[in-house]
Amino acid sequence: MVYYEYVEYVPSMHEISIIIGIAVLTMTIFAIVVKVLKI
Amino acid sequence: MVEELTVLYNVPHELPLGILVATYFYYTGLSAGSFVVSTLSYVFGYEKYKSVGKLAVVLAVVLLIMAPLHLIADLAQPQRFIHLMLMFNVRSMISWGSIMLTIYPINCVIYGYYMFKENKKMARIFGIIGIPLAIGVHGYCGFILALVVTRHLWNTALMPPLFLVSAVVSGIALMILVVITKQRFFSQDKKVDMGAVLGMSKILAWTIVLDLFLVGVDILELTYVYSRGEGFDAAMLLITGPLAMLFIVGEIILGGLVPFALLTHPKTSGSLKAIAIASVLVLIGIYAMRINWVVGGQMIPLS
Repeated sequence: MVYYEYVEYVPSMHEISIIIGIAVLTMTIFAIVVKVLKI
Repeated sequence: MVEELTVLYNVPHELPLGILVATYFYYTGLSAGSFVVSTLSYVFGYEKYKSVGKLAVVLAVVLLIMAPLHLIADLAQPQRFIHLMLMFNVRSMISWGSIMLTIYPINCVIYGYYMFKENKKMARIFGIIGIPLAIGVHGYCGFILALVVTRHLWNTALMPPLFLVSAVVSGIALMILVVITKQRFFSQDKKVDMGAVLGMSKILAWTIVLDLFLVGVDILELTYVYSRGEGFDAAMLLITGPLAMLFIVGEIILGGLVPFALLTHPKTSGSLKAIAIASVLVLIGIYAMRINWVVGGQMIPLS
């Protein structure tokens, strides 16, 4: 029988801020492109 | 004299693929799903989706260009991402993925160009070329995980189709939200194209069923075939372990069953508000799915 503990993982603030930053950037670029192309 | 010793030791286990990689998979899935929506009118000829085709192709391109930023940010030395472009290995899924990640957005841009020029013939040709590329771009994400034989949660042939179907589910949900937001708040007549939204909501409802079916088959297979082996442990991690809340509540109930009920119940299936809520829930559920599968696959230590 093998006993083990699950490997713990908690996202760091660094990772979360990158995700939020890229999401905001994505939405901004999409909005600009939609505006420029007059879709 | 040799004494019998019992040695207790612990090895620190790292979790190399974290939330940034899960988010990368999420973005490529959203892109592939948006692309599929754009092909409904320009490749398959469903005229009622024409109003959403251009939005969908722009969204697909933007999402796919932004997606690799998560991977680059995840690298300890981000400048080394260029190695994937310069060193091709025919047996490496990541090498093939790098090629597809380069070709697919270029094809999307050409496809979008002809779409905006109203050149239906050329748009159709590049739309047809784009479909296998979209499948490849997201299918390879599933393959990357499925080929890791030591991780029982990943090592299944169901992984690529599961990733593909969830990509289409999340892409359609995002398109519904974008179309509603754009037409309701940023158009002159403030009128939402209900024909397109209702059509997409029907497709979304039945792709949710397919997604839940694949997840169910995967979990059943893990719990049954390996009976008390590591596959069983991997399934239990999702059912009773630390990811149970995210899996059962986030992915299955909120991300699958509730949206399906909202999209198919006679009282809510025609309501714009209910469709929008269902789409938000699906987006949350699929993000939970990405985290469950990417992070969960590494939570059982290898030694």
